[in-house]
Parts: sequence; structure tokens; C-alpha cells
Amino acid sequence: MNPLHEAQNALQHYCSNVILMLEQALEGYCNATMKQEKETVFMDIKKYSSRLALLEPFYGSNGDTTQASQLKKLCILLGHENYQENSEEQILLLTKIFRLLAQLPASASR
Amino acid sequence: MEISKISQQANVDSTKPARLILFIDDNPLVLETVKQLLEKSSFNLLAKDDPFDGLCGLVKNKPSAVFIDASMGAMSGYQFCALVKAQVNYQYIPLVMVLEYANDLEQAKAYAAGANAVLVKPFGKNELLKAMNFPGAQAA
Repeated sequence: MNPLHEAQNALQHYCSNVILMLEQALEGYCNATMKQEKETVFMDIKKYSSRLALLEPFYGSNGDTTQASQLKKLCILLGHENYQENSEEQILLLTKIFRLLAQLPASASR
Repeated sequence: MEISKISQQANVDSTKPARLILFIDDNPLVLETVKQLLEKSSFNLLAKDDPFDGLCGLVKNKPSAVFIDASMGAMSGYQFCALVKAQVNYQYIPLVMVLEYANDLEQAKAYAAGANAVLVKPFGKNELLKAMNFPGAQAA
């Protein structure tokens, strides 16, 4: 395997882990009842989605056109948005997307 | 890790336009050494201890040059180089591969992966600055 393919595999593995952490943070946000708890989780959501957005130029170049890949790209595009502290709609949209992802076969989504 | 926060910026000579150097190495001592070497130079330093954080820093800041340690766990310097040089929007950024040994094979691998220059550890200020003076570096 050449360094480029190895790098793409390493990056894909890393991004899958970040997506997983983002998914957990979104779930945490939905379950949080205290304002302070929501704010803390919100910072994680911003951090993970921003990281995915920055890595997108290197991540989306493998020509994969599966539904899971499209959804991931959509999530990454959403990560470009500047979240406001009260952007409940964006959070709900992201949550719905990740719920769609969860319904896909594991082999296709991760 | 904290090192990426504390060594974000080196002192800059205000009479010269500052250029940003991204240095990626998982050894905090190397990053701290580079920070000291670049003090009072015309370079600002963005130090990262993880190749993925380094990629984020590259996209966000578009540095004048990137120094990448060849041997890192999650993604080697060779892999990092190949990934950046394959991306049309970032392949113009000069990459310097930082090697543990002055080994012909490792140097050949570095250039084959797309590195513009190599720097061998241990290095001092002169070697570090010299590594930034390869052809094309001034244009970046």
C-alpha cells in the first residue's frame, strides 16, 4: 500500500471516531436538562463539527457515493456553520441526520 | 495537549513581515526547542503534537511552510506529505520532512512522498532556517 492510501485510511478511521464522539455529544445535548450541562456539550459539538469541516478537503476524495458517505458530507457541511448558542434548530437537524446514519447498516455508515 | 496552546506564537521582529511555520511533532521537547530557536526571528510558530490537528491547522492558517516529523504513530510524516500533496488546494505549501537519522533510504522516501526538503534531528537554528530556504520556499 502506498503512503497516500495509508493516509486516507488513517484519516477515515480518525474521522469515524470524531463522528462517533459528535454523535455522543449530540445525544448528550438532547438528554441534558441543566443549562450549564448543555453549554458544555455544545462546546464539544462545535469542536467536533469544526474538526470534521476542516478535514473535509482530505476526507471526501475517495469517490465513495454511498448514502452514508453523502450523509457524512452533509454533516461536514453543517459543521461549517457558525453555531449560535441558541441554535436549537441546527442541533435538532444534526441529531436527525445522525439518527438516519444509525439506521444504515454498520458496514455502510462506518 | 497543552504544548499546542503554549507555543502558538514565537516572538516576532516587527520590522519584518512575519511568516507562519507549522511544526508537527509528537515530542513536546522538540516543539519547545523549535519555539526557542524561532524566538526573535521573522517567523511565527504554530506547533501541533498530532498530525490530524496539524491538518486542521494547515487548512485554517495556510502556513508558509510545514515541518512534519517522519515517525508519528497515528499518521506518519510520509503519509501526511502524500495526503497534502494530493490535494490541489494545499499542494503548493512547502513541506519539510524531519528525520531521526541522515539515512539515504529515509530521505528518498521523504522526497518520493512529496517533501520539498528534509531536516535531520538534532538540529540548531541554522539548520532550521536553512531548511526553509529550499527553491520555491520564498514564493510561498
